[in-house]
Amino acid sequence: MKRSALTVALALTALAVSACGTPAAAYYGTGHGAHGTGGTTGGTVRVTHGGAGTDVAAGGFTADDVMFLQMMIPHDRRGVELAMLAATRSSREEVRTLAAEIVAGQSDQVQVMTDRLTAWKQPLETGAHAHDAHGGLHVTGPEVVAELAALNGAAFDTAFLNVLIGHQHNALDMARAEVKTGGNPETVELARQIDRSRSEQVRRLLAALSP
Amino acid sequence: MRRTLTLAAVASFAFGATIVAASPAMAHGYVSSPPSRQAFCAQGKVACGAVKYEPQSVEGAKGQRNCHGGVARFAELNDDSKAWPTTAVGTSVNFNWVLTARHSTSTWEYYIGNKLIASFNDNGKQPGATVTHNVSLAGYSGKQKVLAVWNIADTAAAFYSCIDLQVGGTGGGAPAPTPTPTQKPTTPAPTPTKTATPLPSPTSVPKPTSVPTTHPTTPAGTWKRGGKYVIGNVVTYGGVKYRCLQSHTAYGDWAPPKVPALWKRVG
Repeated sequence: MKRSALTVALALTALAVSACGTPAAAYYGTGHGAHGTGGTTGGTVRVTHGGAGTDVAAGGFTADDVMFLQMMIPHDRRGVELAMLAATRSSREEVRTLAAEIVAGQSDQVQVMTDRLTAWKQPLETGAHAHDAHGGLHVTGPEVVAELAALNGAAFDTAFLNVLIGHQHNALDMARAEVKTGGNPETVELARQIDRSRSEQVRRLLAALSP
Repeated sequence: MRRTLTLAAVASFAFGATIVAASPAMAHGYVSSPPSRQAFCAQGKVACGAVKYEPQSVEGAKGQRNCHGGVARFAELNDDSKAWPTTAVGTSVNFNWVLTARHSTSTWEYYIGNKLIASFNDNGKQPGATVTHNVSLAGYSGKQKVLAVWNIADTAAAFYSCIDLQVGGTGGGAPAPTPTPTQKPTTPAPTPTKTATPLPSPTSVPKPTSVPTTHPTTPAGTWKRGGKYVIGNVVTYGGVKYRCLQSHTAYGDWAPPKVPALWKRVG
């Protein structure tokens, strides 16, 4: 019994992998196998997979769109949490200003993304432990926020800027994957906006590191 | 038995395919300050090709002594005739890394020419969220190109960054000595939390007694800076009720109305 369930799960995994032969889907596939085969979107009837269907032109969406939003929302929230630290810890106005812009801009974006998933009647998050498979590699964890919170002044600035740059690089990876493989035009456009705004942030954050 | 083998084969095929296909997007790290060549590319301070989009992806087989890790589309990084800006430093330099994936690490190496000038052994550990190495450039002066190499413990790959420096240049442009915790050669890396002089650390902030962290939907009283909140907590701020959307500690002055990503107005 158990074995047959395992067989099905493995078969589904294999199918998901072969059906998602694009770089973006494969990116999510790394450590995200559970997303595609588990219960978020892969098995939801209303989702059309593949992105080229007529549904998309009529305002529909694909599994890639849903997964992008589900991953981007917590990522941006963590970014906001990080950026909030700078208000009282950075001694440089330039850094505080940049951080305040991130708090404001990404808060708005989180709202847009949340509203979209709600309108699509899709879960706002992947499964409770779906991100465990990251192994902590790509996700800026709460312990990093706590580490930064213990710093102050120049030491804070150096650590904060390097963490935030890495965090935004990962947002760029997700956004570019959505641009390549997403189906819903508005969500693909949102991903393009994220690409532009985060690229500009990376430029400014890097510049702030070497004033 | 046979079935088990088949399953294993399917599984390994699936995972193998995923990992191979995913590698372009699985990024990693580069030296951010003093700015490496790819950091200048990402900043738009030097006109570059593909590397400006992914400065963290300069990955190649271990053992190379070039700036582009042997990756053809990043070959311009190895072009010394390109107008790479130099950064003025003293003889003691803190090299900072941006990491986008914290791979377990064997060593971090710094070369000038073919000479290894510093090495830091992480013994296969996963690095912290930030990595800083203090490297002595004693005995060097003038324009120098430092090659920084991050050797990954569990793959055959390494990440490469070249940093163009003006050592002992005018202006004594070494990064100002700061309390930034740095990793000394041959010494276990201190983590920031151990060595820094912190503000009252988050764990030492008295938790507002009215915040019940175990009952997410129970009202949590008045919002307080330093409070720990979990999803579902309801707080009052300025006479208005807000529900917590993501568990967090309320560092800084970001009250609920300022941070709609974390708080939703409910009353």
